[in-house]
Amino acid sequence: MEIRSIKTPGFIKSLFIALLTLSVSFESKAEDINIVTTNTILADITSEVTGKHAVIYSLVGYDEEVHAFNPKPSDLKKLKEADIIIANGKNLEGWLSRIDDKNKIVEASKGIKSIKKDGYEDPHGWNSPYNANIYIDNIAYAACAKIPAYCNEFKDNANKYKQTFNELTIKYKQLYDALPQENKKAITAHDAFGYLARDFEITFIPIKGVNEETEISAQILAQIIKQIRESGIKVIFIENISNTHFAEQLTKETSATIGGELISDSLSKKNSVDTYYKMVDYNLKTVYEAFSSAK
Amino acid sequence: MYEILIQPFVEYGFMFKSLLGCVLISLCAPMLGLFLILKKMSLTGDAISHAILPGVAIGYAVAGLSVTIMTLGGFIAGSLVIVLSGFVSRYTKKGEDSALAVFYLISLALGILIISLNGSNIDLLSILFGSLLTINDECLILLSSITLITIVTMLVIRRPFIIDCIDPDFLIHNDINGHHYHIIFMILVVLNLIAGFQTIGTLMAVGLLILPAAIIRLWLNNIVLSCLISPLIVIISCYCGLIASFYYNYPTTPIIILALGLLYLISVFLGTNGGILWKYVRLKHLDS
Repeated sequence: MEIRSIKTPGFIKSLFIALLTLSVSFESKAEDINIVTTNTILADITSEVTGKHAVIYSLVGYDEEVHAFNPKPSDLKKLKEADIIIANGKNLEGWLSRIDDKNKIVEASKGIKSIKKDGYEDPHGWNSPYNANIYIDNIAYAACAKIPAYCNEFKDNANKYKQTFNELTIKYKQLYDALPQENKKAITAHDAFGYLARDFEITFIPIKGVNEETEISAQILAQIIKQIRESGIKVIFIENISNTHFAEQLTKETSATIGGELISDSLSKKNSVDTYYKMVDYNLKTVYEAFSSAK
Repeated sequence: MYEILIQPFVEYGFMFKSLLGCVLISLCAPMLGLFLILKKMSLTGDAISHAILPGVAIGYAVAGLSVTIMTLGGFIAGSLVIVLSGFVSRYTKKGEDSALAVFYLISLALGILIISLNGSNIDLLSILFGSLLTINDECLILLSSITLITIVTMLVIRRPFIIDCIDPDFLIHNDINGHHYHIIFMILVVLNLIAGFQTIGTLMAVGLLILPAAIIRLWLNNIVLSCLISPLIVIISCYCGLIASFYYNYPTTPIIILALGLLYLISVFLGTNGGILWKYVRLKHLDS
């Protein structure tokens, strides 16, 4: 706006424009922030926390493979335009080390008590509701840092959201504690449920390791079959993102049956498990039902 | 001995099924490989195995990991590439091998594009490297059908086909279109490559056709005996692959191909039909 002296005719016009702008800015929000998340689970948590104040985009979509993701040029563009990048961390997104703007990255799993396997940290923290609180807090903290204006709202949302998970945890912990220990074991497609196993005292034996990509060998498959036969495992869980041939082969060779499809690394359109809360609830319910109906 | 070598196949159904799948392919693939080598088309076979990828990718996009649909897709893609490159080379008179190279590359690129557009959901590894260990009954039925079709067809067309390989002019003089038999043969090759992709993956499927044929060529000159004995070569190599994977945790596919490769190197030196060793031995004999 040009600076004019009070006496010039343009002053009234300028004053009018200034008043107009001021009144408009009282009503509008601070600009929405642009958040990019690496998967749909994080996107869902973020949208619960930030409500309508953020535009969220998830790089990996519903029912898609998280471990083997490789960003396309359009993804890199979105990462550049983002104000915050929410990633899981613990090496789930190995490709993130190659991008610029690393200071925009928020590690959602920071602070969980991690499980170490063969020198790797298990990244699948989100699968246990006990860790949900930490994820929610990390994301709320990052959102607050970016737009302090709405921090109270974010904290409110986060607390309400955390409460739902606390209730879920209490409900299921009771149910699981009531099951006999020898019922609480199963095979899973890949090593995605380590934290669930630890927190609910279940034994999960994965077919593929922490990383979905590793090719299986006859020795591993034979070992799993042997283990199922010897320890009397009755339940096998398949997953929404992996192929089911292994599981089918296992059911043919042992007396175990498929106890259901779990949602492991990605929210799913298939079973309408399209929010993080629904996913954890669905997994806990499916596993519980399979365990209690076996034998 | 029995325990180490045979027991795994008795105790574990998947080991037995995998070996059975290998046996089924071994009955017909090397025979086709022998003729590919005869027609100097060994690398062409490799090109075609890459060409079937978009067909498989579309099949996967349509129906998930359904063996039948992916096979159908792969078959259509492979046949299309062969027919197109045949047409293009005939009408532009510029050579079938360059036309084939172009079409297989277009086909492969399309396949990769389709796979990546479909989201990062596809089990790419199992398409590239095969899923030998998790062969199911549907797959075994497919393999046996392909084996049967191949053997019967080759028996029926063997005379005109072989003549077309060696002396095409003879057929022309007798008013027989030898080119038809060439096309039938190529379709059989596509079928066997599809069978190969289920077990060993598209990357190395052609190995089950070419390698055993190349090996047996260094020992025998008689084509009938070669067709009868070459299956054993494949079975031995697949067996080694499965055993190595069982005891040493190696992935099966590369071990199978490496076993075949090793047999080939041994044959290069010791083979009775042109092995290097025998050249030197005979020379010395002639000297004295």
